[in-house]
Amino acid sequence: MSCVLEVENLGKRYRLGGQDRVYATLRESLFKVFRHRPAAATEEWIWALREASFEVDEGEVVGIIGRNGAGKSTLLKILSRITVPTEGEARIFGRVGSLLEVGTGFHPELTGRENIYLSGTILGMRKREVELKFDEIVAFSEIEAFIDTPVKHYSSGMYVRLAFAVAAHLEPEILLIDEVLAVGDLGFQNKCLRKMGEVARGGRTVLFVSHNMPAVQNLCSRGILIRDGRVVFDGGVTGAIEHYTAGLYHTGDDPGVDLTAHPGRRPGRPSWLRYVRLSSDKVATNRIPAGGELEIEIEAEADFGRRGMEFWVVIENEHTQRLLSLSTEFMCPDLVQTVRGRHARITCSIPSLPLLPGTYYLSLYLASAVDAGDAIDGAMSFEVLAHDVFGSGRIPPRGKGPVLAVGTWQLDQPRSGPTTEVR
Amino acid sequence: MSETTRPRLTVLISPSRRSLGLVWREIWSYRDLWWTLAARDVRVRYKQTVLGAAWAILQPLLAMVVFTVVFGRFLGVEDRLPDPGVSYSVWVYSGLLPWTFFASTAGGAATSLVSNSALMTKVYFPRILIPLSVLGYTTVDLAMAALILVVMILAGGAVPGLSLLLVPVAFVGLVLCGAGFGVALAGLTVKYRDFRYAVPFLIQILLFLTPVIYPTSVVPEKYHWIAYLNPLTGLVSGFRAGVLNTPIDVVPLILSLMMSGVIFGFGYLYLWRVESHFADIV
Repeated sequence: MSCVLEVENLGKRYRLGGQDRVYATLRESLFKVFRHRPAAATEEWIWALREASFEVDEGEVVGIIGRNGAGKSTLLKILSRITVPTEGEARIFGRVGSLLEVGTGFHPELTGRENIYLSGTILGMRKREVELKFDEIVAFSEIEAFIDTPVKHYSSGMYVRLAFAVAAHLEPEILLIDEVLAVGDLGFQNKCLRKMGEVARGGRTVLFVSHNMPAVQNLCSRGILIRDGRVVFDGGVTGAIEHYTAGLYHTGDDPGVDLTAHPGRRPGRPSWLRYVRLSSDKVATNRIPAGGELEIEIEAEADFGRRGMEFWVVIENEHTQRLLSLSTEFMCPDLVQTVRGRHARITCSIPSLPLLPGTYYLSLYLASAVDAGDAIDGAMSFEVLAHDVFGSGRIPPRGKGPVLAVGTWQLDQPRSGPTTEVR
Repeated sequence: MSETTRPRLTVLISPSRRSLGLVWREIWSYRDLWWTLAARDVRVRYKQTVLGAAWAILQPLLAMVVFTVVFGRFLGVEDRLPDPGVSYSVWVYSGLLPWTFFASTAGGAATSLVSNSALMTKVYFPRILIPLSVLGYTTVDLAMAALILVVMILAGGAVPGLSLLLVPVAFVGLVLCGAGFGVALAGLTVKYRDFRYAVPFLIQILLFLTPVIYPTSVVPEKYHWIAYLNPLTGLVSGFRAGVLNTPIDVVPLILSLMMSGVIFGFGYLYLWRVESHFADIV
């Protein structure tokens, strides 16, 4: 196997500050000319990626994992040449294709046919190549009938299908993918995964950035874990995922977690969520018996007069797979609208927690219809303890599915006569 | 013995800038993208407008009518034209065409990078292709508006001669000059948003500093050298002399062509210097 990608001490530094402040105004630059300010002394910098080094061989499928803001997207942006590293080097041997979103370059006014050409050439194909693959692309997208309709009239599903179809036929030697699979309906997602598996089996090299652990586990043989801009694990994909989930959410035995400056808060979100505390049967704890009562008490501080403020509680397993969501939006609309003042204390009760023993994670969201709202992925962890739910003295072991269902069994058999024949 | 040969190094990613030669070769390898981007702009421009292609003709035509009335008649520029055989309306229209081409190329290119920011943060290609692709629709617009000029010249009984060869020469200069300014302004607009407001104003001012609505002959002789410092002076006069078959002053045209080449080179170099950080700030 020959090496197709060498990354050596790659690093990227950004200037701190809001998005709007990043570009200079002419006035500032003019002032700089006349007034001698010590450069960079007052400016704050942040390393989004630091000292990343690894090599990828031909045909390897590598999953790049890490929480939001860890630097995975920065790495992908550098490798796809969208942005320039501050230090270090990367050498790529072969043709690179990068998919950082579905539908790059699509224009709503243009027809599907025109967009195939546009998106194809933007992604790096020659016009001739697009021509050759045109029929295949259309067939893959399953939208033959609408190929001459402007894409603004497409449903979002059709749009995604066409966009992915173009990307899937890019056929580069090295493919860089950033979570594009998180879109589209389930059937199409599976089709995309199959196509990616094909790409991988076809001997091409794939770097796949994702939060979707089952997909990473499925597709990749190797995993690179990035935390706070540094590569902290590089090895088998199972090991990488274990490291990721172990270091990610675990908040110990504390039943309550301060959310004010929580590291799991998505970058740029307001700190509305302040505190979360778990309890079971009026006792504060994060160790809940299977099938027992769970109360999630949340404190938040925000302008509740905003449109569409809704609380969300999402329970995930250790592969960050969502198991269940509870939201005021569906369970009690209008409840949040009755909050008086800026401070809210709200409790979500689950009378019988339908989870089997194991470690679980709680993500909290305070959504708003006006802007993105607050979002904390993996705000805290909790344990579900073995408990004699069925009164039988036995409970199912791990690996039988995460969900606990309470129910009964009944056997129907004839009242008399031989039930079994034994010879 | 291994059969596999190591593929050649295709991309080296590092903090330092790549050589100009490498950049140039890359732009060439992306020429299909230039074409599709240009075609996109042309299609989008004509798809959503009711009048479609008519806009390309109406704009200089209406400007011609206004200028003919105000400058030609009221201010009497008509009587001061160097070539008495030509009516002011034809004269001003034949100047408005190259001017409009320049103004929409430079102006369109200036905002092109900012308005295509979604593209720049998601995929790599030589950034210069975005401002350069503006040339697609400005050239189509120019061709449309030129149809009216042909009709006007033929209706006026004029016979175009060999001087028509000047038109492609002036056109090359206009492309270099418009695209050169446009590329540089596009880079500046990404970096300093002030330019979004400054560019339309600067272009408007430049119209009055260029012999579009008045002939250079109305400018006192001792100030002519200032007029010649404006690269558009020679290009607009050259284009006009070409289509109207009137005497041409060669020196300003050659000066303008040289300046246009320098401007394009400057724009190209400036963008090459700053483009690597666009995705971070756009």
